[in-house]
Formats: sequence, C-alpha cells, structure tokens
Amino acid sequence: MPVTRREAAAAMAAFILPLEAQGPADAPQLGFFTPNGAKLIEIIANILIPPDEFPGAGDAGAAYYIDKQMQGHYKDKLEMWRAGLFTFSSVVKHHYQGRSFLTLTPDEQKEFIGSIERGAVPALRGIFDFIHDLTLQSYFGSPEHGGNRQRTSWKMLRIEDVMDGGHARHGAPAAGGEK
Amino acid sequence: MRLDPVDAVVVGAGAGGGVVAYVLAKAGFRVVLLERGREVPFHESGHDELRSQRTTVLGNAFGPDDSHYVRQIRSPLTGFFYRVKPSEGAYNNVAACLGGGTASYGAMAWRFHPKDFQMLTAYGQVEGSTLADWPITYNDLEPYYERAEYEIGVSGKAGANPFEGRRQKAYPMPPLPYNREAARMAAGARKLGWHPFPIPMAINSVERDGRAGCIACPHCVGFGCEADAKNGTQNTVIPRAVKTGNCTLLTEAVAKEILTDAAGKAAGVAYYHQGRLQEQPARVVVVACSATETPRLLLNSKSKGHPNGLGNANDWVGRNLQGHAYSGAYGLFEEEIFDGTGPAARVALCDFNHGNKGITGGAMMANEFIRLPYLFAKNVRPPRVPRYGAEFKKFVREAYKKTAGVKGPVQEMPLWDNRVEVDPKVADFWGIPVAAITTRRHPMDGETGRFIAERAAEWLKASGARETWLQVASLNGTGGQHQAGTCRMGKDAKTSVTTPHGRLHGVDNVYVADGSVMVTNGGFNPSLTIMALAFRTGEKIVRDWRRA
Ligand SMILES: Cc1cc2nc3c(=O)[nH]c(=O)nc-3n(C[C@H](O)[C@H](O)[C@H](O)COP(=O)(O)OP(=O)(O)OC[C@H]3O[C@@H](n4cnc5c(N)ncnc54)[C@H](O)[C@@H]3O)c2cc1C
Repeated sequence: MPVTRREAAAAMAAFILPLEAQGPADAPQLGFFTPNGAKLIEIIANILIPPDEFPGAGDAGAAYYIDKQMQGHYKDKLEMWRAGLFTFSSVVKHHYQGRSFLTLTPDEQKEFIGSIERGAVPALRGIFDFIHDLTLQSYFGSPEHGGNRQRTSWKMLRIEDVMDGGHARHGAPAAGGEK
Repeated sequence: MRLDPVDAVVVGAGAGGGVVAYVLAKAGFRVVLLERGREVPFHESGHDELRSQRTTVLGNAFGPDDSHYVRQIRSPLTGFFYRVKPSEGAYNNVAACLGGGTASYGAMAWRFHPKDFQMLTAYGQVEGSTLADWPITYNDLEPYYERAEYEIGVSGKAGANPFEGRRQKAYPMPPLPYNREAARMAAGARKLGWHPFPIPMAINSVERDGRAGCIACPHCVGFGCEADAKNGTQNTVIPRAVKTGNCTLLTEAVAKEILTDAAGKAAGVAYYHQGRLQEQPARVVVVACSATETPRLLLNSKSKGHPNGLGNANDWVGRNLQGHAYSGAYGLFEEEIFDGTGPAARVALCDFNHGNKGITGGAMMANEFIRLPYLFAKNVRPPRVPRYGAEFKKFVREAYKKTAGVKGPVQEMPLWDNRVEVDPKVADFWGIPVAAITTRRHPMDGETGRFIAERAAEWLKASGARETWLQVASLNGTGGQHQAGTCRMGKDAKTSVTTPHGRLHGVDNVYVADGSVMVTNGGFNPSLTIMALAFRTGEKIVRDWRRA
C-alpha cells in the first residue's frame, strides 16, 4: 500500500512529539511520545504482560521506559521505530476499515497482536519483537530506567532482597561505599 | 611524543596482561601497562541488570562504549559484513576496563583437563578442523596453575574432582558452601553415579589479602563485587605490580600499533592517551588485548619487514578463533530451590569432559549462575509456554524460584576460516582500523552440545525436576566472552604464531600473553589457564631479558 511522505509524517505526528517539543532525557514526563503514542505502547505492553494481582507492564511504566531509552541508548533505532509504528498503524487501518489501534475493542487489540505473533503479518515482526523486548526490559529491569514502577516485578518474584544485594541482607558494608 | 625508554610495555590490563606486568615489575623490570578502559568501581552500576556484562541492552558497564568502538561482523545469513556496536551481542565482546574480563567475570577458576592439551593425540584428525596438540602439556603448566591459584586467590576443594590432573598443592582457601540448589543438584548427580564437587572460584571464602570474604550475594557474573571478595587482576596482581614502584599503569590509553626498527624488531608501542599520540620505546612488548584485539593490533602493525602485520608471515594471525558452544538444559521443580544466595553457580562435574562415545571432547557441567529477572523472562521457559500474555506472566511468576539450569562450555573444534581480520575502510574513534570477524561452528560442536544438553536434562531430572527442556548452541558463530586461539602457540613457525612460551615467531622481542595463544579452548572457562600461561610467559621474559 503506497503512502506519501506527507501521510507518513501525519501518521507519525500522532505518536511522536516533534523534536523541539521533546524534553530532556531524564525528565519524569514524556519527552518522545505524544500522549496517544504513550497510550498505544501502554495498551500493547498490558497485552504482553497483563495486569492481575500485580500491575501490567503498561501500568508499570513501559511507555516511560521506552520514551526515555528512545532518547538515550536507542537513539539510533529511531528510524526503525518510526517506520515500524507507521507500518503498524497502516496495517491496523487496512484490517479494521480505517479504524486506529486505539479505537479497537480490547479483544480486537489482543487479536491483532496475536496475529503478528502467529506470523500472519511478517511486515510487523521486527517492530513487534522490538516492542516485546523493550517491554520485558521495562518490567523486569531496574526501576531507575523508567519502568518496573514500585519494583512491581521484583515484588511479584519475591526477590527485592536479592536485588538489593548481599550487604542489605547481611549488614556488611558495600565495597567502596557511596561516592 | 617520544617518551623515555622502559624495559617492557604490556598492552592490555586483563587476565593475561595484569599477570605479566606483575611478574616483570616484581623482577625489577621497568614496565608501562597500557589499558584502553578505566577502573570501574562497584557503585557505578551496582546490580543494574540492563547495564551489566551479562545483559547489555542499555550498554556495557565494563566497556567498551558504543561511542568509541565498532566492529565489522560477517552475517551468517547474508555472508556480508555489517557494523556492530559493542553493546550488541554480535560484537563478540569481553570487556574494556582495568582487569579486562576478570573485573566482571563469574570467577570460576578452572584447570583444564590433561587431555585438553592433547586433543589431536587423544582423538585424531577431525574433518575440516585445524585441531592440534598444544606444544606444552598439563604437567608443564601445573606449577603455574598453582601460582595463579595462590596469587589471584581461589577457593576450592582439592581432590574433590576425580578427573582433575595431578595437583601438587591444595587450594589456598576452603570451598564456598553449597546453597540449596547446589545441595539438591549434588545429591541428584550422586544418584546417577556421577561425581559432583564445589566449583573452584576466584572468590574469597574467607578474608584474604586484606579483603573480605564472600557475603553470599548472588550477583557475581556480569557485575563488580560489592564486598570486593571476587578476585580479578584489578584487585590482586595489578595493584601489587604498581606497588613495586616499577610499573606505571596508564588507563584510557589505546594502543594503535607496535613500532618496529630497521631490523624488524619491536621498538615500542604507539598509543593514544588524553587526545595525544605517544610513543613508548621498550626492549620488550607484550600484547595481551584478548583474542580479538590482539590479532587486530598485530595486523595493524605493518612495516617494511612485516608487510602482512607483525608475526603474520604465514597468515596464521587471527585464525582459529574459538569460544564455547554452551549447551545445557533447564528444569522446573515442584518446590522452590532458589534461596537467593550466591555465588549461584556452586556445583559442577567433569564426568563428560572426555570419553564420550562418538564425540570429540565434551564439557564441564555446572549449575547456572544467577538467573537475572529480565534474562529469565526473555529466555527461560519450556516450549509449551508462550512468550507473552497471562499464561507467560503466570509462568515467570511461579517458575522463577523453582527453575534451575545446568550447562557446560562445550569444547569447540578450531576452524581455519574462523578469523579476525582488520577492515582498512572502517575505523574506530581514534582512526584505527577495526576488527572484522568471520565465524561459524563445526558440526561436531552441535553434536557435543546436544550430548551435553541431554546429560544436563538427565541430571536435573535425577535432582527432582518434573519438566526439563534443552538449549543447544547454534552453529552460527563463536568467540564471545571466552574467545581464544587467534595466535596459536606451536613449535613450527609455519603452523603457529608464537613459540611455546608465547614469543612471536620471527620477532624476538614481542610476546602474546592472553587467550590468543591457546591452541584449543578446553571444556572449561578459560581465565585461570590464561593467567597460568601468563605467569609462565612472564618468567620466560624475565629469564631472557634480564639486564646483565
Ligand atoms: C561476564 C563474564 C563472565 C565470565 N566468567 C568467567 C568465569 O566464570 N570463569 C572464567 O574462567 N572466565 C570467565 N570469563 C572470561 C574471562 O574473563 C576471559 O577469558 C579473560 O578475561 C580473557 O583474558 P585475556 O587476557 O585474554 O583478555 P581480557 O581479560 O579481555 O583483557 C584484555 C584487555 O586488553 C585491553 N585492550 C584491548 N585492546 C587494547 C588496546 N589497543 N590498547 C590498550 N588496551 C587494550 C582490554 O580493554 C582488556 O582490558 C567471563 C567473562 C565475562 C565478560
């Protein structure tokens, strides 16, 4: 399905803030995603790791994690990210009579993600694998990077003490101390 | 700028380089030790999984950094080279910091099996492989293993491994105690008639050398040690070398090339430091940059007398790059076997290093290091469990403390075409041509991997696992954190790069002292062997180059 440059730009503008509106990398607010872009990631992340007694990955800050990393370590994946999200929106529109992912029902959203995982949409494999990986990073990695809010996953796995390290459990001083 | 001459320049302050600098400085040589990285203190990245030397999705805590380094890696899919950054898996990284790999390693401190030095004699030719015997035997290296165990500091139980070669002296420290998982696994192995024992670790089980004993936190591999109880070269031999007053350590000093004189002998080393190109003249040059960066430096050191690079008259530099075809299995237990104490890898056995029917070599097998939460969620689940959704989340939550892994560093068959070259068209931050790496694995590695994975599943089942699944290494590429073999030692200059003592054939005063010189890579983690070899090479340099 051919798209013009203008269409692509318009589609992207719905999800990613223009450069001049992006904030500093370590600000707690979003600096990369628009509110709709963040919403999209939150929904997908909550499908990948859904809420139960413990929050889902979207609720635990996946969008904030990705927002921060796309301005930091994953800066050079920006093009891939833009192209991937653009294809994602286009394919959704094509499949669901012009509707966007955000307006699908939760079941339709799940079904669409499921079709990518089953290999029915090869064009979205790359971006989906990337979002999947980033979501796991956000949920299980250290909260300092923007995800895993309130150490949700570490609480779930009951490893908060392990992640704090030996000195926390044994009362021994950490080597080198604080600097 | 041309600096005052010294006796020796050692390039690379990792496992091998740290040891040689110490041996030379202690013998009164004036040494300059160049390290491209810097010292990485524990608190800098702590236990941050996403920036460790285990998962580098947000960068390598122990270097190198993405902004200064790049490599060309040949894609196994397309056959073409593509650019890879250090934090990407395909880069084939070890580390770039004071201590090299030993600052963040898991600290298993293995002696190779005697047969690992005589693979060709033990098994005969393997089709397509450059398999060969080492020019030295286990017995030649034994005194140096002992020296490494005492100078670096290894805890372990002498005599507990019935397959180990002759050992003259017990370990300097008693073994670390089994945690819950290791105790269960040891009992399971005994049920099978196998011979489990506590893994020898370069970790203080008791206070030693002014540093603490292990406080049983499980974050050993991929991190610094919060108690400084883990022993690498950065907290043992390197500070001792500096303390002699004979060794000048320069960090963030990047060697560009080895300089040669009109006679073709090494005259010193050119390196970048604080934005300037320096020339350090020396009587002896020791290269210890790891099995990828050492051939890169030699190949980048071209001159009239050495048009193909230093020591490369016969095109052997950079060949035979090896790693380990790690394979094993995971098991899901009924009850929680994870107790959160470390070091997490605690029990091993050597029943399958050799003597496996139809297979060349084998591997030591050990229970796995800590399963970090992100890596667990990404990689550890049986095929029946999807990789996302409610069922996935439930599995991760319920299985995390009930899962154990066993794997082994499967010995690989060396291949002539597995090689490190330099790409003159691609340069790093300093303008130095980068390494271009081509690797794949020999089919035998896959067979050995499957065999070891099946034994791992058997071991887990005997220990109480109700479900197991295998992980067998792919044949797509090798090298990585256990890289070795690219400057093979040997007696014949036509089929090796260095003498049995690590001196370059055809260049009197250049030595290699890192994983590059290993002919084959054993079925064990390599660092203690690299250190032992470096002690041996260091002593030889002292004998041959002491001033009258
Ligand atoms: C996470 C991890 C876990 C590991 N676990 C174990 C284990 O449990 N047991 C075990 O035996 N082994 C383990 N290893 C492997 C072990 O660390 C390596 O085998 C060993 O460090 C290799 O020694 P080397 O001397 O060949 O090179 P390195 O230790 O890599 O040292 C090479 C040094 O040279 C420096 N250098 C390179 N090029 C230049 C240049 N041009 N100028 C200046 N300096 C340069 C590098 O920065 C580096 O510091 C582990 C490694 C890692 C990363």
